[in-house]
Amino acid sequence: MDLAQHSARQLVQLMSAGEISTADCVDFFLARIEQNKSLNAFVDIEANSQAELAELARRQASELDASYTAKQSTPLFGLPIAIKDGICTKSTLTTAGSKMLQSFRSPVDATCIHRLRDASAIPIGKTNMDEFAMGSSTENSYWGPTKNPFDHSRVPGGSSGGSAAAVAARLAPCALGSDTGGSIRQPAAFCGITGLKPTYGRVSRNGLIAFASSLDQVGPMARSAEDCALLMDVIAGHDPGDSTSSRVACEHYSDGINDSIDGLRIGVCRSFFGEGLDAEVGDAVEHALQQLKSMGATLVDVELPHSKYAVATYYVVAPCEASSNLSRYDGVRFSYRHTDESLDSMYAESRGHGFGAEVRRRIMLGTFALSSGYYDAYYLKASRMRRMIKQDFEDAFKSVDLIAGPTTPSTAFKIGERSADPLSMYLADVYTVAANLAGLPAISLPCGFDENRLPIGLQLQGPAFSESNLLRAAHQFQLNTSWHAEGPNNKPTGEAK
Amino acid sequence: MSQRNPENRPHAPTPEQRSSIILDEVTVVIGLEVHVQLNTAAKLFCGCSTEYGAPPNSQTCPVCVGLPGTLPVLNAKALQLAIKTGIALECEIARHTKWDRKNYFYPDLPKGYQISQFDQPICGPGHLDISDPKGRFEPRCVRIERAHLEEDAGKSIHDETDRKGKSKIDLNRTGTPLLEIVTRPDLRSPAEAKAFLTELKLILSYIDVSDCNMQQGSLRCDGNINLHIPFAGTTIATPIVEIKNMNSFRNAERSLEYEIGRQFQQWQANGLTIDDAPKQTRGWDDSTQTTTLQREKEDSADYRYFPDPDLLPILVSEEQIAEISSQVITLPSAVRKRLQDEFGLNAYDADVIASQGPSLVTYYLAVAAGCGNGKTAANWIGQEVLRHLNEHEWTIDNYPVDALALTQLLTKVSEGELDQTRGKEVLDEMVRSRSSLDAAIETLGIVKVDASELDELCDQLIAENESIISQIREGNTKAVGALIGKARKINPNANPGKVRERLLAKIGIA
Amino acid sequence: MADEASIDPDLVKRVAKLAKLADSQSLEQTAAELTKILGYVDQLNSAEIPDSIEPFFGAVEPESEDENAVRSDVVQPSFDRETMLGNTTDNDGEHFLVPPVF
Repeated sequence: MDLAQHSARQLVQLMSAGEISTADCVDFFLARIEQNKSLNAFVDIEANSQAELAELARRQASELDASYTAKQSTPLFGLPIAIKDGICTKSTLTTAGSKMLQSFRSPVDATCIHRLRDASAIPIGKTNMDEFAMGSSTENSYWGPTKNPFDHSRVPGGSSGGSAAAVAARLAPCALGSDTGGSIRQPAAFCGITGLKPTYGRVSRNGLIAFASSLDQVGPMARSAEDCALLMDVIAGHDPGDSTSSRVACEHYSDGINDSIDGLRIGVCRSFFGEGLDAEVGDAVEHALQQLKSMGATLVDVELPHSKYAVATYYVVAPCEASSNLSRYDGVRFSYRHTDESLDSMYAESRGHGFGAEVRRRIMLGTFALSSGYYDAYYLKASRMRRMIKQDFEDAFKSVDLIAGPTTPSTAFKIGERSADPLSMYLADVYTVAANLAGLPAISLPCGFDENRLPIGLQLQGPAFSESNLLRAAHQFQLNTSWHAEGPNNKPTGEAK
Repeated sequence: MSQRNPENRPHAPTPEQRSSIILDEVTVVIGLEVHVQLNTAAKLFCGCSTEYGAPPNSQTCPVCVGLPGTLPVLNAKALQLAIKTGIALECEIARHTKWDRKNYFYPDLPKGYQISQFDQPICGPGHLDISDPKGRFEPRCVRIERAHLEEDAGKSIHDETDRKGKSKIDLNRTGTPLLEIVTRPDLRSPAEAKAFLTELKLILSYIDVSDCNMQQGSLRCDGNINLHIPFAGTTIATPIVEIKNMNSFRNAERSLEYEIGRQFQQWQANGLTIDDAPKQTRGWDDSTQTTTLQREKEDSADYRYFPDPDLLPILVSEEQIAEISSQVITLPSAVRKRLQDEFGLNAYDADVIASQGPSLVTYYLAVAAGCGNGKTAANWIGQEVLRHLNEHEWTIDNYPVDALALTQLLTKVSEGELDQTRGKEVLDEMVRSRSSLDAAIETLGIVKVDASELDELCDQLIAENESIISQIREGNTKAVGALIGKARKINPNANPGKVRERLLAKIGIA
Repeated sequence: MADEASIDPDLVKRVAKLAKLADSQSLEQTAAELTKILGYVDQLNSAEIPDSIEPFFGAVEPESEDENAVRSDVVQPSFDRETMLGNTTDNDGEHFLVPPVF
């Protein structure tokens, strides 16, 4: 049985039915991780942290097998899952891709991990990421870049690039990522998988190492919307340990995906299809829109007049929050300490050497934008623009149920291609950051390939707490297409079913 | 702003003119910032205990140590106590309040920022009235500018020996809820500042929001002070100085006194005004009884306040405020008024009772009601009971004589069963041996002297003191005092009043 | 804001001091990088934002006091000290240790 070809949902069914053991399933994926080390999808510090976690995973699997009768009906029975390394897992290393945290062990699990464990899922590895989730290529990791499974000379996107690559290469059936400005959706698009950024507050941030607190969300990454729904049913919901966690009741996402999208009103923002968008990406997204239309949706033009300011707004707000969130990495209690020479040098040198260039750049940017004399012109102004961007969406969603467009302006770029020019890297987020600024849910799903057989992503954005609608539209699309089923080594069919 | 030469300003006083001004003409301007630790069981944003004195770093968790991924959740009681304080100080209570981060690096500040309130404090403008029962200053309404909640930092323990050892960080205190109360610059003397602090502390203990233990750092105070000097029809203000860590009320008064002298001397020497020099921060040094320069505000930190994205704004309802208001029943000012209006005490005595805090007031009220005489109760409590409390460093809560026992004692005194002196001896004995009223009376051998015993005693006195008796007969009734003294020696239980009455009757005067 | 967008090496130095960041890269180079990014950010200047627009700081605000995110004043067990000191090598078994604070 080639377990790699099964969806997460199918794997859970097989294990719940006792057809395969959770131990075998975990071993299968651990072996695939081991065989595909060259992708650098997993953080494996000095080749022992992955082994440590693998050992825990095996133990958890045999415990599950031993308590099969009691646990078999838990929703994610035995499901291996890859975890972005910015999410705290108890006792094992959690580094957020940074030298700063090269030996950090959290004494607690993140709430989402706790929920996964309660549902009998098994974390099998910590995935590589841009340091502190700052980046769009997973090149900014202290542990080196992750490669795109479709083309090893290219980036997998970021910051959840390790999670995306792991799922795309079938090293794990599904993964958790986090999304601050597109960090789930952009790598999902680059790696040909499906990734959902939930509404702000839908999934607890407790235990997610903060980049920009008002933008960060944990979300599922998997091969299909159906599997994303499966994970959302477990990780979503109110957490009293996160003050910003929403009390709005959760829908049952797996149930909701089966309804037809007949009559769904899909907004199309024509300005997304203009300058800056690769023609091949644009064509694939247009085809996807027609596909949705053929399935009964109606396409309606909408305008988001301030979305053109989203990247500028984001690159003020996110660095400001980050500059403060990253002040705790001072060498005193848990983070890298470079020198003991004096207090001042301990601070400056530890932070100077413990953080990579992009993180330092954003801390500088945020510190500047919050500093005396510049706050109003930058942070306050951007926060006011943020409300304009939010209002644009609220206005648009008066007439449509969701908005469709490209996830990224291009397909995966070459490793090293943009690292010298931060601004060009920032523009990879041009279609994704607005959802974070407005706190809205958005999903990316595969909708085609370019001429290099690099995946193209379709983004669907919805009003707050419309995850069910997004997952339904994505699932229905995937029932009618096979882009999501294309692995890195398969020949593309290029055609809808 | 760097130092400028004030002499270049038109109409600036010359050195000669400056030295001709005397300190008595100067107005002192003082504002205070008081940090009060609120008495919650758990910290402001996590569940760790706030108990004082635990082993270092034993009251910590991932949240208060600021580990990656941790998030704060507000302790509702801290908010309630802040509102309660605001109500007691007649502050405007915000209906919408929020949290801001104050960013700076310090080893005992785990997150690299302090969660505080910047522009929407929970308590807005209010006031606190102070007066001096001895009349040393005029009553004054001190305006409160604001009061806001914030988390405390931890403790840094420095190597005092050779300055080379590492500093030790204890994070037990980190995250303890503080209310920072800021006054307007309304205080006009160090005595007023001390009175303000005393009254504030009293209010906080009346409404039970803080134990105000200064040794344990539950109440900390910084002061801002400068001088307004009249000159040629205008006022010249000296540079503002912030004095840190005035760690007792006495030190607060002394450091402000010192600072007045220092600033005046400085001004006479250099003429620098508020427009010429930056704000200074100075620390009070108890050992030298001086303030020393800590830093000039120019190079102070830029705190980069911004709204904390990990916490939601807080809404406060009318109902919530009404509910908390109903808990703020008694305040010291009201108690003082009641003691004067209902119990006939003078302002001084009323203040003595009220200033001891709500427990003693309760004790007083019980005794006053029981013995039916507020003044007698105030005299005994104000003198005897407080003397005992001071001697033994007790509070009224662990005073061995409860209100009922004192009431019974005072009743015996008022009914003439015991005279004042004997009564006080009995109270001392009750305290000394922690015994009941009756047991103390027995221990002291006090028995009631009946009429025949009294007769016998008086006859003996008349027989043994002929010359005194004749003096009395000649109209010197004061001489009877000498006989009373002798009577007490023969029988200490004899009531002086009754002895006097009986003697005079026997002699035939009355 | 247009003027403010140009960051000179002195400003870089001041900001680095605030952020406590040593950098092997020259002040000039950092200044040039930040200036370029701020140049892009400055397009916010060209946007018209009506005065009535309040800033949006991200979290969805409570609509009533009942929705305040609070917990009750109950002490939870603290973590053991060994665990809390466990992520730093520089401790004396009781405290975190840092270079002298002077």
